[in-house]
Amino acid sequence: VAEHPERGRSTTDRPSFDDSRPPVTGEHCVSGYQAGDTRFAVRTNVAAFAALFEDRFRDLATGHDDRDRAGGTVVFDVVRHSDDSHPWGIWRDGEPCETMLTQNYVLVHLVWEINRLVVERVGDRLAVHASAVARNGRAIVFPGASHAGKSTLAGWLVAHDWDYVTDEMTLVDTPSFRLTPYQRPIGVRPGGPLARFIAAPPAPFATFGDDEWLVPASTIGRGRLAAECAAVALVFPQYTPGAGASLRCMSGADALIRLTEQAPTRLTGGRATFRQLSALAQALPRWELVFDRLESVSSLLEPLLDG
Amino acid sequence: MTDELMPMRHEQSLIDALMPFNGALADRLAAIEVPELPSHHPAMDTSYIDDEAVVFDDRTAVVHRLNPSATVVWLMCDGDTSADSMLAELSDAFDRPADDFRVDVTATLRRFWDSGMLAGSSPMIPVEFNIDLPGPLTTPDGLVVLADAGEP
Repeated sequence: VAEHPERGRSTTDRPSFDDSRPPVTGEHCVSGYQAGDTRFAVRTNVAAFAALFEDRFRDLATGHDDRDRAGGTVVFDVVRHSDDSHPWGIWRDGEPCETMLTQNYVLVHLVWEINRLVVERVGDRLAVHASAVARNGRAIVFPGASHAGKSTLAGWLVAHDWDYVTDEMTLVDTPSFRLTPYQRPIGVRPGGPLARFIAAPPAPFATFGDDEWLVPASTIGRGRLAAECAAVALVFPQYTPGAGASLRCMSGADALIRLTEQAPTRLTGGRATFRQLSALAQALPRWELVFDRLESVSSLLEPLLDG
Repeated sequence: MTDELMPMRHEQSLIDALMPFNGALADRLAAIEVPELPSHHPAMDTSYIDDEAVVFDDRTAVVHRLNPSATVVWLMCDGDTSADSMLAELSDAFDRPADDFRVDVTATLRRFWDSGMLAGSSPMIPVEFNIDLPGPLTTPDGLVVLADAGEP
């Protein structure tokens, strides 16, 4: 396996595996994507993966062919390097991210790497682990841990005429509280509440994700994507079996504690991040959404748009 | 007064963290007196929302939530006010004997100290103790004594 010229060194933490990027023949490059402020491109040696990426990540496409690392574009190499049980690897600008991935996990891991890129390059903005949807330029933010129901809520509301901002990482400018969209595909579980709104992915796409389909929000319902918009309410989702759907007013201290728990930069950003979180918790109305039924959620949330 | 100083999950004071490993050192740390004139540690950043406070530790990103009563004590930790002076101020404010507040104020200051919130104290430390066996606990002849949840 040849050393990748951009790396110039080999890793020492896994001596049994040379994780330098293998030479790629028949390379396919999909470029012109943006996550947060960061442009990125994907190179791969498998045509089906390139087609899959173009299809699933269409909502992050800028329409500009931009693959120049010197111009600041981050390049992910997604390479099938063997025929064993973990044949895939991902490199970012030549550095290994994960080099032994299964076929059904490679796309999931690439999404995770793109999320990480967004957080790393958040700049002066605040990153909150939250989904968000909007109407008429006014957005509701749903901060929450994994499995709180963020993505399901966002997908459901997009299917019911809300505009999609993000399902994972909300980027907030302070003190304006304007949101920069990060419209990555939404994870949909076969048989879950969002499955009825989408068509099953055709083969061979299905082989890249057995448990969860990544679905462009633009293909759900009317599929409207939000432009930059203003946050007007914080709603903390709490999936609770048997709860129906109801909103409860939330104290500022509760909201700030939970926002802090969902701020991936709280350690690196320190008190500056905490002050941004505090400003957000103090400025916006705060609610807890306890739910297990989605049918009435949209009508519950609509009044919050009026402040 | 009820002390509801609530640390985030998975975090504990240095004293509590040390106790299982070095009880003698933990006891020595616990015996350290709260300063006579307590003040906020410079790493603390406080957000006052409604009548509560949320305190962020810039060293560890741990947050502490203070209920209204603990917030009053926190506000009096200004480096110029002793515990006795705090009791006198509370006595004046609520028209009750100072001794009515002594136990709660002392306990609250101790919690602030043990949580690393006061100047001179040690920070809360994030801890997670996950000690996982690589498989079910078995006897030498292969009998499964204790299986993890989900294990057959």
